[in-house]
Amino acid sequence: MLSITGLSKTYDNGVHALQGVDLSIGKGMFGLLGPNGAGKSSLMRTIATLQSADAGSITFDGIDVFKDPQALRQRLGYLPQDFGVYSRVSAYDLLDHMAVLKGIHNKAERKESVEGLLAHTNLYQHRSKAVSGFSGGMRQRFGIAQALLGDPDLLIVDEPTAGLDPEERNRFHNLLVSLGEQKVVILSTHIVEDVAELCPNMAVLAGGKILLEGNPIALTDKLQGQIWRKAMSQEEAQELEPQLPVISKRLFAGQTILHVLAEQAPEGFQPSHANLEDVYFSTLLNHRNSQVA
Amino acid sequence: MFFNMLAFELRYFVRQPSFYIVSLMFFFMAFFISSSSKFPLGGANVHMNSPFSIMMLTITFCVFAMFLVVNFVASSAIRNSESKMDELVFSKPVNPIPYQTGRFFGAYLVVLVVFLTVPLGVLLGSQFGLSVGWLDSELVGPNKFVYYAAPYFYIAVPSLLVLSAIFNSVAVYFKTMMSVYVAAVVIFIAYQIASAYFDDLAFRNIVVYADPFGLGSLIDLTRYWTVSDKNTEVLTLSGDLLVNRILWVVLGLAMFVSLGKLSNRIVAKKQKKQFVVSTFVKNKQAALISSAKNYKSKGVSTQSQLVMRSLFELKQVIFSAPFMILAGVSIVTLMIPLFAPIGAYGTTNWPITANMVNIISGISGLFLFVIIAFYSAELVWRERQSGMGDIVDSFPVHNSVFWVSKILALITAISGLFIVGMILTITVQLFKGQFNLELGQYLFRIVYLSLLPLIMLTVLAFFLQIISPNKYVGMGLFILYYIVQMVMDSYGFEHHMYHFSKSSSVPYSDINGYGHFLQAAHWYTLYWGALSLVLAIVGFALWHRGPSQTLRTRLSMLRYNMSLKGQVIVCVSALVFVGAGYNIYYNTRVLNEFTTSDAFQDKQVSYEKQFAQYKDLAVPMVTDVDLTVDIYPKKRALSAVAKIKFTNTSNEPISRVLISSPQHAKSWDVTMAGGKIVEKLPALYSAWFEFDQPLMPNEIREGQLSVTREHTGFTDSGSDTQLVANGTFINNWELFPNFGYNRRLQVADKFERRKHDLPELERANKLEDSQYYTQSDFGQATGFINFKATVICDHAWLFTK
Repeated sequence: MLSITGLSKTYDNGVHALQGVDLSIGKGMFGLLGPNGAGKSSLMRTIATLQSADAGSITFDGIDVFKDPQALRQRLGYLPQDFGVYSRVSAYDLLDHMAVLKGIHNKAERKESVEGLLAHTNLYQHRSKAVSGFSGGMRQRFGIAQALLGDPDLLIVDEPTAGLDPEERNRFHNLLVSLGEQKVVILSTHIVEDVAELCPNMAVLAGGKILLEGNPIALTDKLQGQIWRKAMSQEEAQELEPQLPVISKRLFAGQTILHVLAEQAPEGFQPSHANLEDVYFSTLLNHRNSQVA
Repeated sequence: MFFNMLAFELRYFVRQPSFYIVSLMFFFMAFFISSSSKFPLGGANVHMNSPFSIMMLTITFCVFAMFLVVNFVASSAIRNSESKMDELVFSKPVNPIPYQTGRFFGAYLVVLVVFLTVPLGVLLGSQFGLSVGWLDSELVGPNKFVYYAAPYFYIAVPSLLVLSAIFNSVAVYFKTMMSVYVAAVVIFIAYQIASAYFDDLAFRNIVVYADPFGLGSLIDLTRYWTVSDKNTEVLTLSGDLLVNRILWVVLGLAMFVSLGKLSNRIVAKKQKKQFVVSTFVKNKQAALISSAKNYKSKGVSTQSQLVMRSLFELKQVIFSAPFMILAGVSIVTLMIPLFAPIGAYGTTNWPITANMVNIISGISGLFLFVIIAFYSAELVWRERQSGMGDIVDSFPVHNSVFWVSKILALITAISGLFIVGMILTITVQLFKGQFNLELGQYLFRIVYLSLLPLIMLTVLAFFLQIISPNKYVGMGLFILYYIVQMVMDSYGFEHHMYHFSKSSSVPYSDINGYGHFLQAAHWYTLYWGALSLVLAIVGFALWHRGPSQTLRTRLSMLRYNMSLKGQVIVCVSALVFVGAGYNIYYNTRVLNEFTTSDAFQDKQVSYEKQFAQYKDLAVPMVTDVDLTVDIYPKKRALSAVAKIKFTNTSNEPISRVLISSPQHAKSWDVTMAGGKIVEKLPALYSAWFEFDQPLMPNEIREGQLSVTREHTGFTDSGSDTQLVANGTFINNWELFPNFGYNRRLQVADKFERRKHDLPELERANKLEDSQYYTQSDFGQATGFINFKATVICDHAWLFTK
């Protein structure tokens, strides 16, 4: 459905945001993982017709996005990472306003769509309040509602669960999965858990390049038997860290837990069941090492 | 703490680009005012760098410095709450009083530093003007430190403190820059209105103290100063001025202390009420989740989107504080001439529609320019500013929907101002018993002659915003355009073809209506209208879509966004623009003569240099006139023949006569017995007539003056207002060639004369000079004559009008 080839973008200030990105994304949920500044938002914006590229092309279901952005916009839903709203406009009015812009012209259809989306995002009871006065989580839900207007075939959501409480996050995930079967949904995030829970396909983007692409389960399986962990004190961890291929360091109950990627267990380490986070961190580690070398 | 914060503010602003931009602005304004004699603030003939001129300039700039104070002091007052720093700062152990006081005085100090550029501008400007010849050496005096220091310390330092205290309080109270700017505009206008209203003997004693800038006391103090006083007297801080300054400094400090909220740490936000969801709503929501269908986008429908967007944008403009305030102020300025209508010679004008429309058109000056500049920036960048940009830009909406709805909103709001003005004037008319409302005139003159150029100006403002990378650049470009078109006249670009959206003037009178003036206006409207259409279509095709699309990227999508229809319209409009432009050029510069005021002055100078020596040369005096004039009012043409008898009242024979040609004449001739025209000098509007046999004193001869006057095409300015379709009012010296040196062609301005090496004009002839004893006020060789005139004219015209 969506195919991206050789996409490159360099900003005026010299930042290489995207360097030859190739991706082919079919129907269903697709997770795009990457650290801050990896180029995720640049890529999302470029697909969402908001930004041009220096090279490369994007096509969606036969639409050349750069040549005919208007055609894509009709089938697109986009939730940017960061957005604001017009002040002093109620949730219902604003969503109705956006529904007209989205191309839902029949009044009755629009009413049904708007009310339904407000209900789905649990905002129905707040519909007559100004969105500008919403809390962060409520505003994020409003953003989700507007992205779903017009039943888009391509849904791009950039950090959608930021600021949502666990209950709302689950509700949103369920909504996404129920939608995901008929459309292309690109979920861009730096939260590995979100991708692990939702996406049958994923890619890791860092430094403007795709480092890894595939099915999360398959990718995780590849690492099985190579991840080792050990709990220790902070001082100990500091000592060990430069000597071992440490992919992550986290705290649990006040102790530092090191995850190490190696063929053989280092001394004192126990085998650990590999998860997507290990995949992600090991990918980033390899990338960093290759850059140093 | 106090000094730390003071130093912090200083350092902070010195790193801001606005510090340098504003300093340069003030410097160059002072520089240019002082470098030529075009704006003699101290009065004519006073040194541009005299203590008095510096003082007046300082006061004038203090009024403008309101915006300077807003930029520094007010922004410093609300910077913490705007950048959400306040919670960080006040969770530290700081005493708010020295903290806030230090910041206030730091910002005030920055204002004072910026204001130093004003005396510096005068100093360098006047010297520059002298060295490049813009200023006569008589207009530049010696420089003394105290000339510059006294106004700075006595006027600027206290006045700026008062302003700082005022705007600090406004900022602290309202917490948005917008409100402070609005307050500044209101105070600025209120000050202008008040100083006009109180400019009367009865208020003199109050104004001396009440003027926050001290202008009232200064005017009072220097009322009877001579030019020499103004050039040398240094202001002293005493008497009323001292009282005024002390009064306002105390008032300012009191305001700072009492209204500055100095001890406040932070303003707690109101807690929101807990909100209980009713079961009905819960059930409804559950029902909606299971039943509501999410409909597919039906794609672009420009019309319904346009209607909704326009109403939305209009609401956003009208219900914004600045618009309401600017609208209120412009209506107030409209009401002043309505309720105190002063016409010529202090008599009251009747409330006829022609006058009312003039009053309404009067508001269309700087005010509307400010509204257009401000709101075009707000509107074009609203989506970016509100954070909705990324979402809305990815919607299936054509660029033109954004562009049209936004410009419609602004145009409707501006039209609303005119409509309110109209309602006001019509109410006044009805109250005063003027029931002939002439609504057609209201409509045509306001919509076509006032509003349409404003709409084109709005299109231009939008276009400049669209091609700019941010709204400040866009606003800067628009202001730059405004300044350029104001100063370009003096560089020879006077023709209306260089002045976007401007037409040649259409004077309206109840007798003549719009007359023939409308024809030219139509062509200019077509010319600028076509260009506006091009700017409109290219403008929306280049509309900002996405957060950081450079102009180059947007240009690459130009044709896609224009669509074929747009491209056709752009091409046709461009052709119409060129065609109308050619027609205007042909009419105003080929069929008719176009002279810039500089070129005309050069002609005046050469005329005087060449012919002033003949100013006392005796000329024939006409004694008998038998005049026949054929007037063709519809064609705006006439031909006139005057059979004359003339004589020589001087003591010497007359052998040569200098003749000046009549204005607007297609052809003219002078025949006098015994001579003929030997040389025509059309460039100098004159000719030489020579008698083969000189006209002896008291000899009577016969002759004939003839003129045909007709008009082809139209002119850019100076159209003939004497001979119009609906009546002709013409003097003998306007109609016919005149004898003798024409003093009306002399350059009158003293400094312009000196620039062109012309001697000073004599105000009157010397009392001892007996040759003028027999001359009347009308000049040489005038006296009582025998006069007979036959006017022949269109029958219907003569009897119906």
